[in-house]
Amino acid sequence: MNKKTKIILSAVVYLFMLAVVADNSFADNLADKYVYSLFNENFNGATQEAGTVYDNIKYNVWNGGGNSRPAVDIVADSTAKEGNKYYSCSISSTTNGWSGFCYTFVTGSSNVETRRDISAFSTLEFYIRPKTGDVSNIQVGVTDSADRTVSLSSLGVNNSSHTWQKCTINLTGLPSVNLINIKNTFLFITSNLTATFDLDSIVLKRSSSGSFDAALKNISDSSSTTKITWDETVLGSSWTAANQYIELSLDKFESDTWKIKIYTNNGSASKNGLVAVTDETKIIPMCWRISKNTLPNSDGDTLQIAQSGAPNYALYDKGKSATDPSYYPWFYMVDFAEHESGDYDVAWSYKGFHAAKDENYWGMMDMSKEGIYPKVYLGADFTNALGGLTYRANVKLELFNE
Amino acid sequence: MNNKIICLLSSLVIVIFAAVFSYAADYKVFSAEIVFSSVTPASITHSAITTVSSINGILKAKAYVDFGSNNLSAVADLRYYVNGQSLNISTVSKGAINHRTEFYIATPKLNSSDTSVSYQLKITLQDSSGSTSYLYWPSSSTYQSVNIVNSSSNVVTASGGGTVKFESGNQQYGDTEIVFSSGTFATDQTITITELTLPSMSPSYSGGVSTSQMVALYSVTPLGITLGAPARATFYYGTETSATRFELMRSDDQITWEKVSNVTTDLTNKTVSADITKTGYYAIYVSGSLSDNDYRPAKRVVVQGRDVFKFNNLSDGDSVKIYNVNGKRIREIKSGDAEGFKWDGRRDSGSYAESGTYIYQIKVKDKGKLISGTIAFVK
Repeated sequence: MNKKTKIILSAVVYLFMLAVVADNSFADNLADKYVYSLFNENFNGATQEAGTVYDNIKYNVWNGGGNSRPAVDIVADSTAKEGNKYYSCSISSTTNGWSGFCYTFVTGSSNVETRRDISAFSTLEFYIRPKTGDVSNIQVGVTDSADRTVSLSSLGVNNSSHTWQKCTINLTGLPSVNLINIKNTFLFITSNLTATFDLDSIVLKRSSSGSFDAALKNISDSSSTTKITWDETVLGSSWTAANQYIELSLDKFESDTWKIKIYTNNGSASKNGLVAVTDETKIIPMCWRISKNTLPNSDGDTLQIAQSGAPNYALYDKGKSATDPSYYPWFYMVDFAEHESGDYDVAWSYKGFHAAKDENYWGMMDMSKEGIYPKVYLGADFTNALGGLTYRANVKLELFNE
Repeated sequence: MNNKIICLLSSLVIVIFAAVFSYAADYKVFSAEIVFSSVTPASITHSAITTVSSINGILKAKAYVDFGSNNLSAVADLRYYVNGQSLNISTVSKGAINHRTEFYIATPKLNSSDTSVSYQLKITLQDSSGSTSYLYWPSSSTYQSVNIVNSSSNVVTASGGGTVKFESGNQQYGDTEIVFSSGTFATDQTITITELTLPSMSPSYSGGVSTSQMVALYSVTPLGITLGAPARATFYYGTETSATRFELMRSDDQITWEKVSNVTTDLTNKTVSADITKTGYYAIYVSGSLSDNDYRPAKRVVVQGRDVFKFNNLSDGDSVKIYNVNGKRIREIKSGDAEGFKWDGRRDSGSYAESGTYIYQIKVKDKGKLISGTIAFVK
């Protein structure tokens, strides 16, 4: 066999191995994401619920020996580390044995177990909140041809601290791991212990930095555009929505308390709106709203902006006036120069979309493998606008890591 | 310390500062802009007038004009043809108006021989620079046709009732209409409201109303039908009176008249309303002048919980004050109070007054004087 033939045969064998060993198109819909959510409400991925398959990842709970299967329930409350949901886990051992749960790659309509290449990802991260028992010896990791795990204690988990603690597994550092041939991408193994704990924000991350993006689109046909505008006939009208919306896209997760803020960037706290070009004392107030949906929609969400009376003068969706308007708010715009310290200018954060006024009701429903692209709508009050003037504003959306 | 060390320390401070405080990683900026021209007429809002009363005879159009600027001057023209003859123009001008203004533009009183009118609204807006813009309704080249009529009919169904409305063509004031509920008639019934010419001499009325002050006369036909359920009737009494008190009379033959009770007067819309129980002729009279006794309560003594003092013939703007014998006011009753002009013995605080004699003081806005008297309240 000559050298050329050897090379060709080697290449064929290698390609064959690639085809047999692993499917490189990890996470069918999200192959190019820098942050892949296994259980995180703000990022695209496969947010898992028991008995379901998302994005070709199946949630499995198992036991062996005398252990009972872990109880893993999704709980929604304000103590979640991220969004408003987390796993509440309970493990009970009566005799020697193993139990645990994992996310398994599957394929086809029958959800046949398969292998995937996750070598593009550098870390597997999650939060744990120990509650009762001792979680120190729980093993966490992935499975290729065998389980490749490390203990929670080796990840620095303090069992006596009942607070959220971050765990970061360096995937390439797992002993003997073959990341191009992964069956279980998140594996939790317990042995002979009784414990309760919570898990949240389980993600795979690539080593590269990812991206934050915002795109301006026309409401009329969702086409891209470059300027936020209103029709000239709004002059003299009260609060009116602009003809465009800003679609956000986040694939970057550098801080666990990230925030995307929105404000005008006009250089003065008093210029929190459209400013007349020839007379900067003339200001048209602006407002904004964020929604997971394209508005208006068949659910009765409208782009008509209503205003309540004294003392709050709150802005809300006029189409929702029959319900509690607090759930459908528009927020008065503030300028960056005001250095807003609260959440008033936060459109999206690790807690979710700022889709309601109450801190406990940040809108984060229905997250799944589908793309998470919240939409920011803008409005302005033209009641006191003046004819013959041109008004302008810079609207800035900024990702903060705090 | 040399410059190199200073530079290194400065760099270190900056690095530490950046690490300690929050930092913005990424951002996107979008520009927003809106350009308003100096005059930006947005719209004219007007409901078409389709009929004008041949007797009241005035077409008066109400129009809202919305526009963008401040301190514009505006001229509203009502351009109209009578009987298809030459163009007439009625004009209303306004200056220094902002964003929205309301116009009423009227024709002079039409002649009884006129049969049709067509009209168009033209609004001219002008800013301080002289820039001018025009708005038209229905359009710059079309006119709204109006019929000059004295009656209106509608079918009132047995199952659903219905409304018969006679529009005067004057949009500043109310219209004449009767609302019939279901079950008023056993079978479907066509009801016609006709506005009639006032008789040269008003018919006499034994109830004390002046015989010379009829201001509107309607027939509700077919005559003589007793309604299965009361119908709410509103009659427009026209613009040619400044009177504020009216009475509604009903007759089967325009000879013998009876007073309709519980009539309310709407001075803003120039209408009177009452529940009627029979078709027939309905006339609106200016109420004759009332004596002081017509306002006083009929009962001089009232026992708590059994009756109340009722003050009569009072309306918007009138008031009643109750004083104890020491001159301290304990209650004020005004138009708009839930119980009307009645006193049940309660103070303003809601508690009952002590048994005893009290002084009432009636203030009648139109009479410009106070009417006083005493009453006794028993607990």
